[in-house]
Amino acid sequence: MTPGKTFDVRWLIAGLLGLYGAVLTVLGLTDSAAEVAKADGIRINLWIGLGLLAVATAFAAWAKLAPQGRDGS
Amino acid sequence: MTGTLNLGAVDWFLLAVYFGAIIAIGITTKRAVHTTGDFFLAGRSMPAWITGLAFISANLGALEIIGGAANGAQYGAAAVHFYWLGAIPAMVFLGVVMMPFYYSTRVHSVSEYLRRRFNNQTHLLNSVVFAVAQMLLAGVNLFALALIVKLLIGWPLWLSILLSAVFVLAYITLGGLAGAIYGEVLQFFVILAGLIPIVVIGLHYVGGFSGLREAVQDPSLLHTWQGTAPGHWTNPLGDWIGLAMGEGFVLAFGYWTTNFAEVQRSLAAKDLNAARRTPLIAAFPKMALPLFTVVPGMIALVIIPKLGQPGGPTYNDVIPEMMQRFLPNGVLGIALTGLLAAFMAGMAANISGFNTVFTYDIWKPYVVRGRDDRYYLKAGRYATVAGIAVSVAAAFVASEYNNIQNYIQLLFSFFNSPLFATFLLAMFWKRVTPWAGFWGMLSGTVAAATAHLSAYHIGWFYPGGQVGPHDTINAQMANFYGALFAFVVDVLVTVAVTFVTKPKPVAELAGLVWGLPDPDSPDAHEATVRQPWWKSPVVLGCIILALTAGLSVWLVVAV
Repeated sequence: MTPGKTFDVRWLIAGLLGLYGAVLTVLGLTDSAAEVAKADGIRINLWIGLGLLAVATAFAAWAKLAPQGRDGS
Repeated sequence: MTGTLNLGAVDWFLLAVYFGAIIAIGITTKRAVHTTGDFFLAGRSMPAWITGLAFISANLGALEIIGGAANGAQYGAAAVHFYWLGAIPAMVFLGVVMMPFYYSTRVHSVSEYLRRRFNNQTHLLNSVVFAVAQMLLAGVNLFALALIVKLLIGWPLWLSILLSAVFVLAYITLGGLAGAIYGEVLQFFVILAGLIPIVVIGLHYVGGFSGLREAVQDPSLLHTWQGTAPGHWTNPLGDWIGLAMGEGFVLAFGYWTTNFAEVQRSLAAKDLNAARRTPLIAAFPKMALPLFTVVPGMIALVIIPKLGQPGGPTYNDVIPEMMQRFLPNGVLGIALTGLLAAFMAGMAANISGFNTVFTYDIWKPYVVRGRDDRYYLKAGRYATVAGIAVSVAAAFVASEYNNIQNYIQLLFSFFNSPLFATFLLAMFWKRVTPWAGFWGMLSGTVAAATAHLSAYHIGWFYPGGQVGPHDTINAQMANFYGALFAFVVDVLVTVAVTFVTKPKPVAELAGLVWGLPDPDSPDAHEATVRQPWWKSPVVLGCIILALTAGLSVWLVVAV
């Protein structure tokens, strides 16, 4: 058992970015007009939140479809 | 900045989650650390994408992010040279050409290569300089972190120095290199998630790239290769000789190919092919980084009044200023987390490089020899604690004395600039003798120091070509030429000493020098495995170089 095989860091990435993404998406949907105006009219929390959720999903799917040790990378 | 950031509960929550995850990494990886090989090299078990992201993150400390944005504001578009010219070719060279000498010889560190190729004296000189440098540079990182935290959150310097030292201590002492590498991979994503909003909102605000180009008032700030004619340069970074040869060749190759804090990430890879692809995978994000550092710097120049002028904010305040101005709570917390994470990752890279070289290259061969592996694993953990203690002390000293961190960085640049000459000759010419390696390195360092001290009296480095009483030197250009001078002196001395001293027997150089393959190489079986093109280091290297050249040409033509 070597340190590289104890746990799959892809799940950790998916978990952290997924949580960040979920928090930002909810914030983005409820941001006040003042907060949107601060970001020059862009709903930045919403967009970054959705982007993070997409990256988290991609990592989770990769870890699920190619479990560690057989991913060949 | 006017006042500290307006942080909300959600920002603190995002910050706390990240540091919880970092501690969890340390605790989880500790269970798998049984030998020194596990602790210092992560058991050589990592896939290439992980070591590749760690490789780029080890160089994406907050000093680099803050400094990259500052360069963008100060030098304009020419600051892309620090990425495309000053990193990518060297990273490709490391992956394609040099990695087999490091990985297949199973050395534990860059210094150990010098012991096998040359002699103990060369080895000890390099190890001690590296170990001391990493501790002090970790201290410089800590101090910079504390300054930023004071600016952003308002905490006193001592609190942030101690707090971040404890975090780094926790995850490296427990998990060793694996802990550091996993932390770096996480940090990579978080810092990008924090920088992207700054770039998106900033570009939107100034009207996209075309709006930015029109708003930049000084046209020389849009020049990358324009105005680099030797003798009458107008480019903010001086002439093309200094740029291409000094920065692109000597400094970049020296940093990327011989800096153990970087190379160590590749050595953790699970096989030779993964080790070679580590810097190549890192080169792709490196190519895109100017978008997240140089571009915000140029935007800041347009929208922040008096930036970099007396009475205004300094160039180093670019990222904090933009965070305060544009980011609402939520992405603000992520950007703050990313910056703090980047500082700690930079420091963690210094400390994990330090503990390895201290244990393997100083303690084990010269101080306490011949103990069992468990003893050295323990020594490594103690070295980590001691290294962090020294860096904390260095950070406190830096906070008492103005600019001492600049002198520390300057001092170690004297040792770094000639290193690539020594490695290049060592790897490609079997005749180079052990003592030639030692004296070449030492004289190159002296040359770098001499060049630095005399540059202030040479008109070539001043705008207009003359030393006037009120002119300021182009410090970057002088720095590039100084590196070039150190390189040439190192080569000349190494060659001269080689001809008057005795070379090593060829049998002792197998695997260490180009053209003398080791028949017993542990990676020999890999040569018979045919890899698909997307795993071939040569193919990847060519793609990276072609893309970078294309981007450089595009920037000259389009801007």
